[in-house]
Amino acid sequence: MIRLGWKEASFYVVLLAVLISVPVLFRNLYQLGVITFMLINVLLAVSCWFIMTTGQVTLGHGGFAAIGGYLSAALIARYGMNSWLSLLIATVAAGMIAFIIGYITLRIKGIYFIVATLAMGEVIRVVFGAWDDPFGGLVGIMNLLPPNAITIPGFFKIEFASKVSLYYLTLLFVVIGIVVMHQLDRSPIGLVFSGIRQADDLAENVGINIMGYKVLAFVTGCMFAGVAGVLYTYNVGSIQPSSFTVIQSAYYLVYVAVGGSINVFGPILGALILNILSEFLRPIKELEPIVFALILIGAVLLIKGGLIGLLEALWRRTNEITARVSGKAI
Amino acid sequence: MTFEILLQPLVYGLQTGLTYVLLALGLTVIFSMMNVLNLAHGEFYMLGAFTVFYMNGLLKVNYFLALAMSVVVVAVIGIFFERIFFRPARGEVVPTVIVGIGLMWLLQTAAQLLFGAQPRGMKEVFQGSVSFLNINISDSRIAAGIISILLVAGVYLFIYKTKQGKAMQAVAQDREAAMSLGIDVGKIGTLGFALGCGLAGAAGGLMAPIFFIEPTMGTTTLIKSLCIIILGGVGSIPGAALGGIILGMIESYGQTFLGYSATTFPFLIILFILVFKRTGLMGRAA
Repeated sequence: MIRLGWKEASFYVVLLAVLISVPVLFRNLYQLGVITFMLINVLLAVSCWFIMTTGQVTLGHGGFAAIGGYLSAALIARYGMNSWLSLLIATVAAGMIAFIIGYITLRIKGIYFIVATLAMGEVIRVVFGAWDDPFGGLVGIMNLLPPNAITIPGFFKIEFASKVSLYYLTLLFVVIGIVVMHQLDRSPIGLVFSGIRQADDLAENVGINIMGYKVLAFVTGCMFAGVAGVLYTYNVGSIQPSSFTVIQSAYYLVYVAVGGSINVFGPILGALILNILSEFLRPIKELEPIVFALILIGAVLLIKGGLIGLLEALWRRTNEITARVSGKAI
Repeated sequence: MTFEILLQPLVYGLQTGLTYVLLALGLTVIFSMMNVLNLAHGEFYMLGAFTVFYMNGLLKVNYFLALAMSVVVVAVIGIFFERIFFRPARGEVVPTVIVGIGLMWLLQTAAQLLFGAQPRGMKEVFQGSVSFLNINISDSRIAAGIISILLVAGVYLFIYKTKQGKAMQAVAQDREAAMSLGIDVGKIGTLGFALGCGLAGAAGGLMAPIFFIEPTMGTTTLIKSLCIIILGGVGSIPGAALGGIILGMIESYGQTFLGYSATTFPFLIILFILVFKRTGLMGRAA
């Protein structure tokens, strides 16, 4: 059951209002496109973080976004399938592939799992690049049509040809993803996840099926990566093997590391701030990776717990001070 | 099928394999001593190649001197980044990986700005070539092969026969115990990092006259080094040697007979070994 205090509830209402009014605030279609991308990256960062809550760090997350994007694009472009059915199939397929891969690889721990997922992400990418029909080989799949319109006869018809409608569509799925993973993280299942992260042998000794929970987190995270991949193809209208490389996967990990991983707001904050930063660094494109690298190394080494940890510490400090001041006043 | 079609890849594979051994040795020394998987290892290789390119190709310094300089230059750069970036990460998994990724971007971009992004070739240092049994091998490759063997032997002697080398082994086996025996763990760690980076630089310097040089050449190199140390067994020096030669052979024959799809081999090897035999061919059980 979702229980919210009035403070929290009003926070979410304001946030949602801001997100809904984005297309009004940003009339420029280029800016709107950038914001839509940011949302997709937020979903990828959150799903990457969700897998990390069990202590397994992945560098192959882009591979699952590629699976979702490629399957949906191929089903639409080559077999003329309805976009919504293709979204469903692509998501389920990403989950099934994640189940098989997770079941095999999640026994591996720590740095070895990182290396294994890195290899896996690259194998997925090369497989799509070498598979001409229906995935288009190295050229990929181009010129995809916008998603099918949703019609309820006699009531309304929503078309997805414009950037604004695509923004709302992306927003809807990203919010669904964040809410689902946030609620799972706060549920008893989330407690088990963090128990496994902190001491997996202890968790196993008290009778927890740690492989089962790790696979559950991995499959959930990868399914939402698949959704993000599909949203990517809807917005860009094409997908290539170069769309989701190991560098993309590294970015998702970086978002989590810079933002912090104590709760869902860490990866959200990390993805938003780094994406906005990279937008501001656009005029000095050649130098961008250097500035970026220094910021992320600095953030990881100097602020333990990431930005969200810093914010939380600040919040606690202000509360303490206000408590002390008001205590004195009384 | 003629005989030389089977033999030519064998010779090429052996030579590239030997250079891979240097790379993998560097990576595995750093990992086993500092618990740092240096994801920027390929960039140190790239820097070694560029050092030789500028020293020998442009400033006409003697090739062997240029090679020695590439080792020193890369080792010094390595020590610098170990001090400011890797040491504060204290061997924790996620910070170390993030620092490695950041350093990778940093060095790659810096190289692009300083040296230019286009691939460049160096004149072959040794002009001739040797042919026997209908197969051809250039003198550059022979020289690279011989120098690699000498360097590997040197590293082996250093680690197993000298006091510093034994201290390095002790740190790799048990950091706290080494510390309590009076070994300066910080200093030995720096030495290990310098050795690891210097080996990557040497590998780059040896490959510079044979392959194209470009700022992004480190990425595939990193994957190959990872593949070798996992195949051979992480932390094992004979394992790195065996793994390097095996990967050199697999690649050489794969490119000859399979073409593009051979590029997936390192990844498949990594996955296969990690899933079925975590300790690799010669690694100790952790």
